[in-house]
Amino acid sequence: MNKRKFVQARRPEWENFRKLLDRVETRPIRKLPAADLDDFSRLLREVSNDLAVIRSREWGRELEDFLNHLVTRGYNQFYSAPPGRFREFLAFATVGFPRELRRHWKYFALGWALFFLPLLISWAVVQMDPSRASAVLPSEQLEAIDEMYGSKLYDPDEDGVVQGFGDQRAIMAGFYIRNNVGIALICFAIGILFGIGTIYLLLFNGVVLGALSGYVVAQSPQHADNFLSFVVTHGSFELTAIAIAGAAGLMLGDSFLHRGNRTVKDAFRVQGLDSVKVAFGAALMLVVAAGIEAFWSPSPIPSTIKYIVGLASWVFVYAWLALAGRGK
Amino acid sequence: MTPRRPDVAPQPAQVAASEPLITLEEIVETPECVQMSFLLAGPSARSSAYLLDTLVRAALLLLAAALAMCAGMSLPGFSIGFFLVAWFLVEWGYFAFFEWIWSGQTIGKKAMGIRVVERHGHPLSAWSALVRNLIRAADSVGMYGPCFVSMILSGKMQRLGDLAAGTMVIHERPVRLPVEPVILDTIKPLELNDIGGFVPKERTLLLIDRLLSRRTNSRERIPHERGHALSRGLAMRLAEKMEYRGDWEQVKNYSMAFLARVYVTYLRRREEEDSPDKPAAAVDRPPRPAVRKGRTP
Repeated sequence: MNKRKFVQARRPEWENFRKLLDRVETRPIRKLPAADLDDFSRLLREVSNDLAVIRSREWGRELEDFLNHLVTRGYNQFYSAPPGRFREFLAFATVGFPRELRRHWKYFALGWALFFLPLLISWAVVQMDPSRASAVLPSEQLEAIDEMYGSKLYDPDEDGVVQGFGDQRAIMAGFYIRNNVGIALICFAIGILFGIGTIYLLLFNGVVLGALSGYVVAQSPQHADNFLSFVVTHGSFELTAIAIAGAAGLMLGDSFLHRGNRTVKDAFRVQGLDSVKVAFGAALMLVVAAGIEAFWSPSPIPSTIKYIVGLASWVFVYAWLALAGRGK
Repeated sequence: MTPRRPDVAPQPAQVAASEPLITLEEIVETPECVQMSFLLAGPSARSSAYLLDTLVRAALLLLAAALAMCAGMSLPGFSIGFFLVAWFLVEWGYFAFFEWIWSGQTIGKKAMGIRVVERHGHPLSAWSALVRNLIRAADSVGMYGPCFVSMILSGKMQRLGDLAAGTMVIHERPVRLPVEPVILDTIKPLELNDIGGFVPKERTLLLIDRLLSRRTNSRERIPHERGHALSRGLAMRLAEKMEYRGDWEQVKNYSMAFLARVYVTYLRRREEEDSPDKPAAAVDRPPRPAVRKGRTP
């Protein structure tokens, strides 16, 4: 059998397979009639065989490319992954993510320490001597903060102030999502460059936030009450999520540095999927945090209730991360 | 001077001599032993696609801004919040979303004819699409510096995001069946009186076939003069071996045409030897394109 005869004999089948592929690609494979499915499976094997014949006899590049294309398309359809479902997403957001995080708890512990320790230390240092805040924060910003938390913002008697804040809530929700989730994702992505950027961002954010908190709390009891009742609830999701995003970045960086017997590529790939799951979970937490920060935290509610809800949310976050999806 | 450590033997060459050193062709073998080959996409196609996508993203943002402006008449706070969320989604979600729903393509990638696939050639999964596009933030540090370095070093044109996701970007191949050189049906076989008993090997005929198909099919097209020049050596040698008694000037100046005639002559002869109902000595008959057309669907 020579090339011309072979092409003549097989060509109708290739045409059939191509037409079948066009149908399979445009609609879900499970809606095809049974006869077509039989044909599809048979033709995929036959065309694969034809490709092998043409390769081994070196019957021309173009012909090879054409059949290669058909086989690739067929193979992709035959082995394509089932489409993602909303239920799977929900299962990941509630149970899968804490599981993934616990599997890599060492990175989480490291990310947590790199973020929360500098935060607490710089908080304590600045609260003891508020003038030290100017070392990390520009003085205009300090004045603005001073003014913001100085007065009794949420006094229900002063309608104007409350309404002014309420009008801004949607803006702030949008701002928190764009800003905070963006920072967390950068904190994750930059980790692939040896983890240096992640460590820097964690330390930097920890120190600045700590200094800011210490400065505000040291001004007056009024300041402290306004500030703490504002941040306590959303802080549980937000600060923890930053540490988690950092943990995801550290995973990427570490996969490069300590890769054992793996090649660089394999190391990246193995950790890459796990780390993005962790980072994605952190992003979801930050969206929740943005909602709380924009709609709950600034609302005119007595600060005692805010403290109680805030404490409950801290307990909830860590209990969820530690316990969700255990057993079974 | 540092003393040479005796236990370090010189490393043998890692690359087999027959393997080309630089290639954009990626061969993947499936568990069923089917080999599939992919042509990797380089920086130029990919950055063009990126540029197009940037324009599309700018257009999307403008659209969101226009919507927010319209809604802003009645709900000022809400519309600005909406715009900020839209901004975030276009900034971080555009690539991942399109690569997810279109199985590895964005608008720019579609226009450039490239696609992201898993490293074994499978369609892109949702998580992989997310990984490679979140890590884009690290790739884009300093005018996409890490991206280009990684593409050069990875050997598969993978940027950092591709490494973490285990994906590669490939060119989509042409879909149409390559045409047989039409010319073959009109070309006259050599006169039987002009040639001796020598029969070229199957391999020689295949070589001619490949050369001729390069005249008609697009990817590696060669011009006329070059074709004749390339053919000259083989044509002269074949003519010698066949003790050709025709016009040698033609063989020399239109070598490719001569090779085509040789091809047609012996291909026909073989075909007719193959089929039992045809007598073997039918070589000097005029070519019969009707037979071929009749069988083509």
